[in-house]
Amino acid sequence: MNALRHALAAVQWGFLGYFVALNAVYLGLAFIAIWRLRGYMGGRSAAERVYSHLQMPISLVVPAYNEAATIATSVRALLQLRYQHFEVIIVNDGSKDDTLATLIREFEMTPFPEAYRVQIKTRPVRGVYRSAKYPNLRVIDKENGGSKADASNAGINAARYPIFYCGDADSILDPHALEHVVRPFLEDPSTVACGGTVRIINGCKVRGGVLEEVGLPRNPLALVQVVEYLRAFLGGRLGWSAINGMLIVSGAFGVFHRDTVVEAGGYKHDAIGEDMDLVVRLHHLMVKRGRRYRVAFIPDPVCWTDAPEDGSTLKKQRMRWQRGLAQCLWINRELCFLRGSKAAGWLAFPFFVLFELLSPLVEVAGLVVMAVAFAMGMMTGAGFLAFLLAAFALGLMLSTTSLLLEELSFHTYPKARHLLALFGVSILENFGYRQLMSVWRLHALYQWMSGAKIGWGEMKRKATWQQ
Amino acid sequence: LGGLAETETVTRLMCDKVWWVRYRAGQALLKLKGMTADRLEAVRAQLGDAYARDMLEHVRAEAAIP
Repeated sequence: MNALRHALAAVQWGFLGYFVALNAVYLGLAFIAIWRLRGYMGGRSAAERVYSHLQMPISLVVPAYNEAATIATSVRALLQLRYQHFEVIIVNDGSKDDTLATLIREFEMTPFPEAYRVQIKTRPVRGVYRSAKYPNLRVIDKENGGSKADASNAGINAARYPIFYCGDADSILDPHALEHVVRPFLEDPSTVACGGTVRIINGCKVRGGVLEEVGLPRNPLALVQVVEYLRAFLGGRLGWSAINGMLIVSGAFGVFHRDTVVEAGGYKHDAIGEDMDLVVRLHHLMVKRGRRYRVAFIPDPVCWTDAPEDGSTLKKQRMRWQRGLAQCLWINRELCFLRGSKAAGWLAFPFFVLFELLSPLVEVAGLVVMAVAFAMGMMTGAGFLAFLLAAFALGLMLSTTSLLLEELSFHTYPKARHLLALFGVSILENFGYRQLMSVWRLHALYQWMSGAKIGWGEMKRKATWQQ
Repeated sequence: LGGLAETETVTRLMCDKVWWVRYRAGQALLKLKGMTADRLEAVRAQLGDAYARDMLEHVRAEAAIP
């Protein structure tokens, strides 16, 4: 019995250490973010004035599968982006509905004998169409490859410009998104990828695929995700990018150096999280070749995406993210502690394994052990309560720091009641929501470890903005 | 400069490994002074490189768009 007590005490100390380390890193990242953001905001308007005539041409690659209902609106919104020189490449990934017919009709597309080069292997391309109305709009019609990766690769093959954007057909881009995202590429020519802040579109007013008014969703699940996204992008990624340790560029918004991506073999079609996988492989490739490189991140809110509003869709999404994370880290494990990989391999990679991949395991186990210890009388009620309060306080501090970052910089949410609602949610999410996420992620981790094959998980999109 | 005498140089560039070089070479070929459809056909027949032939089709189709 005494040995058990000692063991339990040791485990408790272990959990406490983990917990302190986890939050210390997150807070460290948040502080780096505050410092970076100030510098970034200071140089922002000046940079845009200086660079406005030096903008690099960008290819926008947008895969579409069965999006007949929304594709015309999405394409029109893309064509309206404020940028000097860009092309739009829609990849019709063997849609079974009228996606292609809609595009042909709405944009007067005609077949065109494009000199299409296959630099990344994909499923066969059936034809290339060019718009008579918009010279910078093309459609690549290909056989279905069963993944967004395969469609994106076909678009990358067709892309003519040195950098390309890859996103979802149903995401909404800020009209100035391209102006912002090109900045890291101009400031540092060794930039190979750049991510941007993704926000939640639910509750915003959208007309014709363009954001008209920012608002907050009424749906509580979507509202929590607003805070979650703020924390992940403004706190986490901005911090990681400062030390060139960004391992993820969101699939909803990423801009890449085309030739480097081709060299890396493009997106992997069997990766669950093809967006993270590509970025990790880019790190690996550049380290192996011994080239100087940078994976950048811009904090500007550039992309707005639809958040799931019901539990089961959210669960599918989160479990897929977790499986994608597990698969990606496992496949690319060579990057971990790789010589010359600096912050990416020595800091970010181990951090992701320890604190992103395994955190649900530790969190859930920690709570269980604490509860058991309490039940066995090894822990006083006050001790247990103190632990819970500390966990809660740190969680709240992280969320509110991101809110503060957002208020200091972009001030996206215009009204005081918006901020009040977001603050309220950052308190409430600590009671139930976070624990639920941990349990789902733990479940996904278990699934992945037991090798269960699970499909992509159909996403139920609300897309109420499309009206 | 810019006359048919440049045909050989431009045709060689149409076999370059960089897409943009092939593309601009193709456009230049069409614009050479004295270039006719027949002469273009003759150039095409001589092109051994499949990418160069594809590119010639591409730039001709593009030039045909008003």
